[in-house]
Amino acid sequence: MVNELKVYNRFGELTLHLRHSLGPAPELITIDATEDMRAAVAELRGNDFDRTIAKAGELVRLTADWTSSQFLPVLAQYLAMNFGWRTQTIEVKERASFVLTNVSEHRPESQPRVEFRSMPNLPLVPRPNIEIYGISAE
Amino acid sequence: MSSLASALAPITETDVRQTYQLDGRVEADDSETTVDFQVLAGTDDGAKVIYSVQCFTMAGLPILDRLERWLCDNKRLLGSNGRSRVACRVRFYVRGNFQGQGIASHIIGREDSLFRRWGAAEIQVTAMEDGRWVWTRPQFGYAIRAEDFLLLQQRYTEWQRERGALEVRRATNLVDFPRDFLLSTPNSLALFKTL
Repeated sequence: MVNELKVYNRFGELTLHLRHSLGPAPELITIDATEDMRAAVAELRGNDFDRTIAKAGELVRLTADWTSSQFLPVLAQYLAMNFGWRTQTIEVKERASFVLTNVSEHRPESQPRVEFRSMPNLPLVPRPNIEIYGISAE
Repeated sequence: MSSLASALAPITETDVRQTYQLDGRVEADDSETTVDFQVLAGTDDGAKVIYSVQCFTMAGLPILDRLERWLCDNKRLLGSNGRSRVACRVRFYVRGNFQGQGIASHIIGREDSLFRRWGAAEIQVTAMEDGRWVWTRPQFGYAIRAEDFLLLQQRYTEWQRERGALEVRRATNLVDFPRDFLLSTPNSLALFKTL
């Protein structure tokens, strides 16, 4: 299975395009990126993801194993929620049975907009692993 | 041995309570300080002690809005690969009329010592609101993961463009980001201090 992630900056420009190939030896391939984003990806490679961020006065924990199909979706959530970037994740299952596109866009006055588009009669994948603590700000 | 005593070892409940003695600052009545403990077993971070603290003045006024800490027995480290004991500063507000009197610095210093004695490899904090500026000041000794710094650098470049900057500056260190940027742009910062 292959996941792809595209990240757009505040001007709608593509700043990062990643491909995460799963299997016995997962790979994170940078298809396109700014210099800073490319360097950030190099640091992410091979490590489980675990960040706690603040959102609307709550602490939200985002976790995903490096070998998990949720690695890129969780990373996308982190980039959208914490930095206000628009993200798009594309999941392609073996034999291209369906494509799920998840678009999020930071909106300061509301929750991020999330859109799902899928082929008819095909299942949606689970949402990323998100844990919300009911704790207010520092 | 109780589950709390076991999770706290080699420190004790008394050690924790003594950490939050204000030693006469702001006319605090240290005999009235309360520490409430909760122990959670089998979390993703191993056994976890959650405690909250409240201090009062001689007149019975609360000094903190609330102080909450987690002692996680097996949490993923931010400063290196692997897992270990990690202390998390979750929430810490000093009430407005008691701010600027050295209470926070007094508590932070004593806590660092307590966490070190407990065996924490790291202190972690999710800096939000004013904490995004305060906790990134060098005197507190916090660091940020390399990838988070680079993501912040990318966002800082955009932030300057949004403001029509003629020349885009690059930060080389966490302290190079201006206050306005840190307080307006990332929702929070995942910071750590290696002990």
